[in-house]
Amino acid sequence: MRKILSANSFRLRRSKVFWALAGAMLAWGMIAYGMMLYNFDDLQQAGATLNIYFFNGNLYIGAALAIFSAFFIGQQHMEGGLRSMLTVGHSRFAIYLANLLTCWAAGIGFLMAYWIGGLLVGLPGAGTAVFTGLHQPAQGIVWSYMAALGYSALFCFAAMLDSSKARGAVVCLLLAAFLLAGGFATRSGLDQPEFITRFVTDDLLSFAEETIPNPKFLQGAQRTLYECLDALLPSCQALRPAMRDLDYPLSQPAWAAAWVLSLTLAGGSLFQKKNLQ
Amino acid sequence: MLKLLSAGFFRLWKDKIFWLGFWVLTAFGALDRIGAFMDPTETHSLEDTFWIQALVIGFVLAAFISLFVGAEYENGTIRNKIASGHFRSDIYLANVIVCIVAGWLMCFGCLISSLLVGIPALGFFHIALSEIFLQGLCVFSLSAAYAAIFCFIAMLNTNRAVTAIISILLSFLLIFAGTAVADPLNQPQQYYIPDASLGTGEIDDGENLKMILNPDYLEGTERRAYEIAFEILPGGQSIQLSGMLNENCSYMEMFFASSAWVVLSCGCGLAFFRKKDLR
Repeated sequence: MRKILSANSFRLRRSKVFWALAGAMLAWGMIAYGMMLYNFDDLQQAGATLNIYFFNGNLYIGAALAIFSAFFIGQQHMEGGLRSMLTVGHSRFAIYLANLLTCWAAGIGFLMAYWIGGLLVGLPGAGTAVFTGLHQPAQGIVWSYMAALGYSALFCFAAMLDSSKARGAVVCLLLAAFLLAGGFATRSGLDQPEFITRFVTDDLLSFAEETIPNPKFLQGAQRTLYECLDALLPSCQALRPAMRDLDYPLSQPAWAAAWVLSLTLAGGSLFQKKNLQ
Repeated sequence: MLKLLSAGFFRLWKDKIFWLGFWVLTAFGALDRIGAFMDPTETHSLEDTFWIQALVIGFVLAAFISLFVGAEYENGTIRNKIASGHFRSDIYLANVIVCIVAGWLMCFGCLISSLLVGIPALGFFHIALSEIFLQGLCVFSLSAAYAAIFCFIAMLNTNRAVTAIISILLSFLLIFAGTAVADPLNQPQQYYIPDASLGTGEIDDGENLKMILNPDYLEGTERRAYEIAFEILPGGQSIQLSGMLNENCSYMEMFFASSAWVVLSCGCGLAFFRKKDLR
């Protein structure tokens, strides 16, 4: 597998798609921190953390990995690279695993590009406040890498099992969008307060304030389901660092490992039987 | 051109991606009605988000058209059509027509499922049928606009994967642009300042009622410019027609904007396609 990884890293360094996406993430990091500097005084007065800016790249890592994985792996299908690797004696599972690790490396590269772009603009403008204004950045970075691995496992599964680069791109990109929407919906559901305040009025000018149970507050089995999705979905892992007051449950890496393991084993075993001709 | 259309519709009928998109939209319409019926927080009417397909038709058409039209480049079909004597303009227009009809069929599938599930669950419409008809006209013209735009991209790009990426990202960008234009338009004109001297549960009788003007509220020419952009942008129309924000809709403006998108996309597409090197 080391030889496949070596070959993949060579291809990665020469991949135009990788550098284009890294460049886009770098540019977005600079834009995001430009916006942060514009709002810096208001943020300081409100005592807000800068997590939404530092981890804003997490919103786009899914799309970036979807495009990269589809192109990188699809190219191997199209040019016969996969068949050549099998011919020289590499096992199918080693090829699958090497591609997964390469996609993850690319995902980490995209995140680093975003952070570099952000710091290039943020450090001269805001100084060390760029770091001191963050809430649990180390955990956030670990969760970001975890999310990148989760996305890589899913897109590797889709791209390795589809010989068509275009169809793989469509499937991966739509999956990324679907996951992101699901992540936002899950987060929104879990963030609903238990009680809400409302104003009741008999006429247009008289109001009375009352506190009532929030009908959208999740309870019981529904809440458990949402919590499982929050732990499992890479999009939820990606969104968590960008949220200000969330902690990082130690059970989540186990769920992430389960997601990656199950997708990799399923994908690897399906790839064993795939006809590559 | 009749032969091209005939071949195109034959391919469409047997295309798995088309049927996948059709059934996805059909299921989406039904599920949205069921979700509205089961919502515990408020009572919904059939007309509330009846044309929900307006929100997702862009994504579905982006995926479908990039693969459907892109396959012709991959298989060399376009070159074969030119070699057999068909004009480039006929080939382009035939593809656009087939894709527009595909979009309409998908919208129609969603419409039927919304009616079949929605009427028993939520009752019939509470607004005039003429309004529903006008909304439907705008949805179908919006679908045609999306189809024309994505056909423009697909016919001018020989790489099917790149076409798919560009089309899908563009479909999301159009919705985001619509949302970005909608947000300032949604700002309230005034804010109510509650009486701070009252405790919790005390009734505000309006004696100390204060209203302040919202500085972010758009007025005059600026507001009109945003409203026009909201009507013109396909993403803005998607948001309005899907029922997410449909106050003060101007159906005629939206219909003509969509028609303009079709004419513009086809005009530019034809001009570029005539000069494109197809080797």
